Amino acid sequence: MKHQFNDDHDILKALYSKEPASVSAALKHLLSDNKLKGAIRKQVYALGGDENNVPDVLNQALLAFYNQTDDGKYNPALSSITTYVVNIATQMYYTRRRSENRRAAMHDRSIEAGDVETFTNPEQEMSIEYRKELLDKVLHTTGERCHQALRLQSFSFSMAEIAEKMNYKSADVAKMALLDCRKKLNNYLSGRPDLLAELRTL
Amino acid sequence: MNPTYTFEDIDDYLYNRMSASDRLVFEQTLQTDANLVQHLEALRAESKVLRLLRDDYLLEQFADWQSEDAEKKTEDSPLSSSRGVDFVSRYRRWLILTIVASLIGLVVAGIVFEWFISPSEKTKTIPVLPLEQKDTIRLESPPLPPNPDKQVALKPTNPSSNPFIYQNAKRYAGLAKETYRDEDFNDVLMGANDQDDTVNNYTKAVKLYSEKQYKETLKLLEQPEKDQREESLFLRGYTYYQLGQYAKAEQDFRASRKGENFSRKLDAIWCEVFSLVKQLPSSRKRLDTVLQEITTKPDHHYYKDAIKLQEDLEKK
Repeated sequence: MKHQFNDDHDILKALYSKEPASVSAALKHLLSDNKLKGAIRKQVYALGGDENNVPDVLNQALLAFYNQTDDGKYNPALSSITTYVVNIATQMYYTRRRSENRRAAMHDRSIEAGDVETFTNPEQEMSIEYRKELLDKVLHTTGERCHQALRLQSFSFSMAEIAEKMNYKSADVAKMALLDCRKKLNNYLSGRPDLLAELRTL
Repeated sequence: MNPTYTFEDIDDYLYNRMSASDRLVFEQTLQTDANLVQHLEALRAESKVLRLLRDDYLLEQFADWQSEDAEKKTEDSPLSSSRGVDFVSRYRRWLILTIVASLIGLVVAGIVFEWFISPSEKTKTIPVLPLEQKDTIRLESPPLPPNPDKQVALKPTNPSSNPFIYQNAKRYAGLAKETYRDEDFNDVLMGANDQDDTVNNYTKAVKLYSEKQYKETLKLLEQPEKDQREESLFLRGYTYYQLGQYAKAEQDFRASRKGENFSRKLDAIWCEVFSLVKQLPSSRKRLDTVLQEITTKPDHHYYKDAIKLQEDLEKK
């Protein structure tokens, strides 16, 4: 099915539908929007970044926008999608730059003081690398297939679709397999209060 | 886990699928069962894990779409690297042949230019000043080629950067000095000072020439008297020579020696020679022609000078 987005309303409709194909199409449309990319590029350059930073900032801003839409935080009456995403991008990149500068300053001070203690950056907790690391820690006991099944479930794929993508015999089999994965995950996490505490901070 | 509550029970409690009475009992159990609390917390955290998984999935999707987009743009570009490579590999032989042919063409064009359109050849074709039979003759030289001396002056070369050019320039300067013959025009002026009323333009020009007022001399020589045309051309040749306009001097000397009754015909040919020497190396062919004209007559007044000059020119 070919999706067509004439305005913000069409995009939001697709995002609220939670249907994987529609959500993907809407996000792809936003990602290839030159106006949005150009506005983010302008902000990135204004904050001292360069072309290499633009795709990364755009991706993260879009992701944050989708999550906020999902959480019901975005109000279309207050701003257009482009304005909203550009604002997110600007704030994110500004925070990242400030963090980098602070880290560099701390590094210089620690060298001067002969201090070898590792500096922990609070913003690092939100970085993609940190999230991946956390995800690996959480899912390493569940196995690769569970990881994949849970991933599909996270994007609201139906049991039939999961069954098809993962070669389960039926949707019911996929449902049972997924329940089994959730149990494994629950058992592992209930014994790891440290990981639970980390997840609560997200 | 509490044996009375399974994973499904906790899931029902969290997502409000439990009856009110069961819910009350479940919450009472939570007060005393730390293990059940841990499992409930783990299930609450599941939504965070799923959000992390979705973020991970979407970021991968974004990266895929961006690389697809970049590939599409590269394919659309007429000078895309892959297309460029394909084009080069497909037409490599033709490209090489085209480049080689272009180079050969350039070399041939250079040779043609050097042999047929070089400045020395151009000047060779300039017609000699025609002899006009008018009462008052206006001495106008035919259009002249670009002055080789001026051309040289436009391209300053550092002698030390090219010793060969410097050596030749020095040699030509020496030859010009050796070949030059000064002319005494003062015989024309004998008694002229006392007869101002009979003094014509030519006599005035000679006087100005002897006073080294060459530009004034040229002005007067524009309109000489009818019976002194060759003399005027001859004098004007010298004047041009003194002003460094050797090509014009050459023209005038050549024109003057065409006059049948001109008494300085022999001198005029030699004057043409030293004017040509001044224009070396571009005037070499014309110089050879004039020298040959002299050396074919052993009794020519300038025969020995011409032979010597030929020998000097042959030396390297």
